[in-house]
Amino acid sequence: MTATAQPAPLRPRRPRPLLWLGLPLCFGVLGLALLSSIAFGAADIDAATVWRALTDFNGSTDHLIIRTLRVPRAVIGALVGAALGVSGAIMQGLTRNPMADPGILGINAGAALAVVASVFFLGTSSLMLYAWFAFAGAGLTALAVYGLGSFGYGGPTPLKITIAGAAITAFLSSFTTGILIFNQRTLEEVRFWLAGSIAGRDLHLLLQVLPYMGVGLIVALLLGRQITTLSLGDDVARGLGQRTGWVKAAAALVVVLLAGGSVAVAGPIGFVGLVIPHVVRFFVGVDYRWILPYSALVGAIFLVLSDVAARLVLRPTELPVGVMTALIGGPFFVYLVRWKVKR
Amino acid sequence: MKQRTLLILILATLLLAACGAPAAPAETTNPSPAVANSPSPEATPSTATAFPVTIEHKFGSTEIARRPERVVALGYSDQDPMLALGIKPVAVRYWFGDPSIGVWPWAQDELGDAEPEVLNMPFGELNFEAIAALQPDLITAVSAGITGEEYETLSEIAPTVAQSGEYVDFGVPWQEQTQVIGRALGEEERAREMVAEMEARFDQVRAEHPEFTGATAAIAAPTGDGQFYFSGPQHERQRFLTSLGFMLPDELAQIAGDAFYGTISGERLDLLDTDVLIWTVTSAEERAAIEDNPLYQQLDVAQDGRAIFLDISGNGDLAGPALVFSSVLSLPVVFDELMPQLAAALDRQTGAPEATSDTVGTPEASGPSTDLGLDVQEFPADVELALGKEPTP
Repeated sequence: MTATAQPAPLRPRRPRPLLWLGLPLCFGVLGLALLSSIAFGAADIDAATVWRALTDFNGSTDHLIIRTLRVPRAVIGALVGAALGVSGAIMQGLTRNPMADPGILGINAGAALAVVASVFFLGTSSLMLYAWFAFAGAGLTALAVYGLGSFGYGGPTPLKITIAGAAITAFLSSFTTGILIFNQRTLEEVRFWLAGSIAGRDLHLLLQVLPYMGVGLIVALLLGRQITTLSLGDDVARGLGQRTGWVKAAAALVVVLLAGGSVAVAGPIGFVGLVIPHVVRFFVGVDYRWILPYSALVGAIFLVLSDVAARLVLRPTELPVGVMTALIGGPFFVYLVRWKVKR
Repeated sequence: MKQRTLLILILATLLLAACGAPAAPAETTNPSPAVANSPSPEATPSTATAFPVTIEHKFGSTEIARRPERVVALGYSDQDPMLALGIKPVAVRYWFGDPSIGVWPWAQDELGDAEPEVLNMPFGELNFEAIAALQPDLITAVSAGITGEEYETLSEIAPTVAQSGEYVDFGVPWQEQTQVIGRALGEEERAREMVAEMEARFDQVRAEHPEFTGATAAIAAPTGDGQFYFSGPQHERQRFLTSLGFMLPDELAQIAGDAFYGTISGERLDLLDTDVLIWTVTSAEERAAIEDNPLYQQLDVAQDGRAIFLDISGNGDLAGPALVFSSVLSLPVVFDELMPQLAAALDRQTGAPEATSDTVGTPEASGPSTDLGLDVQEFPADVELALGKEPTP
């Protein structure tokens, strides 16, 4: 606590112009990533055809592949990646736990249990319905975790929320496992959803969740300053006159909207929420006004590129992108950590 | 005292029998199928010579000393050949459909009023305690895909017959499955006859439907994330089609490789544009999702209506589950229910109306049928479906 009371800059602050310049650069890279996501896939389609499919649609098989499969996939990948990156960053700032990610607040566990239970008890079998159950499960779980973490002296402290999240995650996961053991059929139905994938989702599904995720992203970006303060510790934040309870509630809501929305669309995709904020922090420092937008952009780029890789490695078979994010992200993360340590 | 004498006597008989006629015991002792058919006390002399039997499999060999009486059918479809041979297992393995289903309707006559326990154990999580509690004297795991470690544990409970190492796990053809189980139960001769009868039926259908031979066919299912599974050459349900003369397109066979199924991206649905395409689905929504897929609608097989949808949830008709089982008991159902659909689907082929007239015209005489006869033999005309680690119901 004494350490946080005297916040020594951990690493030199990047000069502002560089940070501003980085944003259009990231947007450019994201644009290229989206283009490659639309241009490459299991089917071979030349660039000219890809272009015509976007500008002059004629209903041929190739054009249908571009329009109905690849474009939705690229857009969903970017949005889910951004949401995961931002929600991970907020969670890490809020709980001051470097290992925080959409798993820690029980989001994934709650969403997974809601979907599995809906398949088991109600026999739902469409992605659209999964999405709503996942969303509801994520929201309810976050409320429960926040409520549980708020009990007792001191209100919702980061430590209590983290512990409540871990406890509820364990509690819900055991139910999920129980149902899946009880009924193998349910397991088969939700297996792909549980692995995390952005394939086979149509834009309609995204449009349903888009308003929530959009609001979440905008509010998140507005919360940058408050979260920076909060990440220095509750005492500091309160000392600076922040109404910490209000900020925490808003941030938790954002996390539910973003993480819940992306779980609803794509299933629980791991690694993005955990790693992207660390990568971003390494380049832009500790100010969440920069960390949040960069987490969104880098998260989007990372997920879109992971998905391109996921469908190219085993053509014409595709890997779930959740597998790919771990495969690509893991070594990259280790490399970053080592490099950082050497310096 | 008396008991011991009896035991020694029996053992001595067994020993003598085993040494006596190792070459062809079945011929001399199983004079008629009728005897083999009913494992009643009268049949004891014949069984005495059949045992002990030694069965080779993937993890070595298993000796079965006596005619088994408490058999656990651990393989997902092992109960069918067993029941066909007149032996009622004490427990069967749940596979798919309603959790209470252990024995499907096609085997109900053979089951009679027996009520085997239904073992509901996820793949890879055998409940050894439950199996041991059944006090089996034989465990058949021909279609269970067990591991060497699981085999060791099972063997401590009772002699265990594992899958053959010559096929991919879950890919033991129905002929092999029937005969191995027949041997283990002392009904080898009867098993051989049943296989021969069923193979004759395949021959008959090939003769009646020469248009099947050389036509391409695939069996597919949606994965749930926009991709599609298809059965490889070693999947029993695909082998059923192969045995009728159908061919799996080379490209698909290559993708499947050594596995019994393969997966293709939703972008490559064109690979499934075969002469006949069988979809296995588990719900009406799943079927609707396929039929509404704009890329699928572009395929000739969809436009001509040459696709067949089989419900394998267990709530629909039996053709789907029977094809999934592809056992000596379920195959007749497949013949009755699926055959007309296959023929009708090929009739709808827009490109080649001649094929249809050929059916009536000159089947036997034309050159192709002899050529194709050879073709068919290249794929072991035996086959069955494998149960799927991944793509199964």
